[in-house]
Amino acid sequence: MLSVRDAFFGEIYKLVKSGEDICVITADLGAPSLDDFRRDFPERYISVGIAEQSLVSVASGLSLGGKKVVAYGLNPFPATRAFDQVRCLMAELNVPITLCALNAGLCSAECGYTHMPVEDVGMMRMLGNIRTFNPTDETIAVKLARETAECKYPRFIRFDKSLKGTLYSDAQADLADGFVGLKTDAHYDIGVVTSGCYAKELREWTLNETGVQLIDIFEFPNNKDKLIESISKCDAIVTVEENVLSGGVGSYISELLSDRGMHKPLKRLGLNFENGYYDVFTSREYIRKDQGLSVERIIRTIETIRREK
Amino acid sequence: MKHTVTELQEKVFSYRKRFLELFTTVGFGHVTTAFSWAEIAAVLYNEIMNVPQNTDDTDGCDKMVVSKGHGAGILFPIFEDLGYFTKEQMNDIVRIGGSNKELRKLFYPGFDFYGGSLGIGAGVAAGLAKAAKLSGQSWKVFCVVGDAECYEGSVWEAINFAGHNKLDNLTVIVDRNRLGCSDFTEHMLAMEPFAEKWSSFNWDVSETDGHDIEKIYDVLHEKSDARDGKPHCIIANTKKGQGLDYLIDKPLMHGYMPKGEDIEKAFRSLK
Repeated sequence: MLSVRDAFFGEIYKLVKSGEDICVITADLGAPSLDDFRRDFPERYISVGIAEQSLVSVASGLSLGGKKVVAYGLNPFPATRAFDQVRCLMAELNVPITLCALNAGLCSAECGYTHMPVEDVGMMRMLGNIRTFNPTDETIAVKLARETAECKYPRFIRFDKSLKGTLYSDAQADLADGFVGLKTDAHYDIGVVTSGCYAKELREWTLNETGVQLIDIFEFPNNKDKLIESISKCDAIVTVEENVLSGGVGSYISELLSDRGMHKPLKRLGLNFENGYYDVFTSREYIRKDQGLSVERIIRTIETIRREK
Repeated sequence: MKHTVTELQEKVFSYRKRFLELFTTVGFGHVTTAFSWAEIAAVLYNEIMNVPQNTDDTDGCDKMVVSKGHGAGILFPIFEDLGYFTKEQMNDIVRIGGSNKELRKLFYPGFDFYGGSLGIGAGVAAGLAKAAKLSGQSWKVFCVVGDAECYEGSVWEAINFAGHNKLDNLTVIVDRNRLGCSDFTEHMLAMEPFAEKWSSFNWDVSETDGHDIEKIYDVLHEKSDARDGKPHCIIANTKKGQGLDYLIDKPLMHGYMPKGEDIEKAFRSLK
């Protein structure tokens, strides 16, 4: 069972082996799936050191020079440290590089706030020209890798270290849609809209719970018409994420509902650091528990909303 | 040389004059930083670079990254002179609402023409040079950075990358006019010893008078063709606002564009 990151890079290796002109440029970050790549294609494995601004600038130059480029760094730094390069080169000039970032949400929370990409989705969403992906499983990750060879637009892909294996069929993981609805019923009491880790962790409960839909958004922006169609089948919406509430999944859904003139009860569950970050050592579990974002607590919240509906 | 020094000097004068026509009409721009590297740009485009024949045919041509984006306006008269645009077309581009679609065909490989987000271009240029090396392409990469732009740490990330990768197909020209926006560089935060800093990153470093056509040609001609395992840095000592004596060596003139009575004064003073 491969992590989403290793599924992605494993496929990149196969593509290069079959003759695709792809380079991987890295800001001092490796991966088990990149070891073979480094050994077999050393000229295509380019290091910039711990220098995310250089990562994006040099990657853009490589791309403008004719290469297909996958740039890889530790999240949030490719987004936060290099945001101006991302904005000017990827968003403004439309340089079609794939910027990959390891870490999503709280998956490396034990390293502290510095290593928590909890604003990156919102930051990228503000740049209208960039498509942001949060692959939930191997199927999505492999599809994203295969798109690299022909990709004509800038992409930002964040990898959650906890996500491994396959959840979706090829048909479900449709990059043109950018989201997966778990069930195909005509009506739901509650629609839980999430992204990445919680889509996996709430999956089993949802499958056993009549009247609850789970929608996993793995791409921002996505097929909004189709997403609205899915949401319209739900009486109320709960959004769940490991991002700050500003700019994340809940923000995306509330903006979409508002823009489409749809009125639905909406509860947004996400991170709140309005009083600053913790002054204790933390972990993913610690923060989730403290913020009411453990899976058990989320389920209780959903059940309460459902009862009060 | 394809042109005589006198011919190039006349071109430079015409470029500065045309720049003033274009940008005083639209009412904004950065005259001092554009004029600072006018001779350098004239030599690059008329003598050194393999430039496109037209805006639709840039394949295989040398790449130019104007990292000090505020100075990119001096290229517009040069593009007219090279026949990419008529005066009427350029007048229609350089106005509020004017389309830069055709310009972008030229600057897509690099001209940071209206961004002016400093510190980005050197990395892009290094990436272009690396791509050429990987693909066995013979085109060369040129990049102009401002000296005060080199306060940006990202410039040094790029310098480190290019030095390590022995990108001798890359020539960076530093417009060393010794002025930022608000003050002289050596007052704000000393840059010297500047050449030694580049050298220590395994670059080949030269210095020249950035307003002397012959000297600029000699150093660019020699260095851009040298395949010696080192990227090339040319520190061009210049005057910010060269061509308009009343602007030279004056801080706080970075965003200056003549308006009202100053327009006539600028044309009258132009050298």
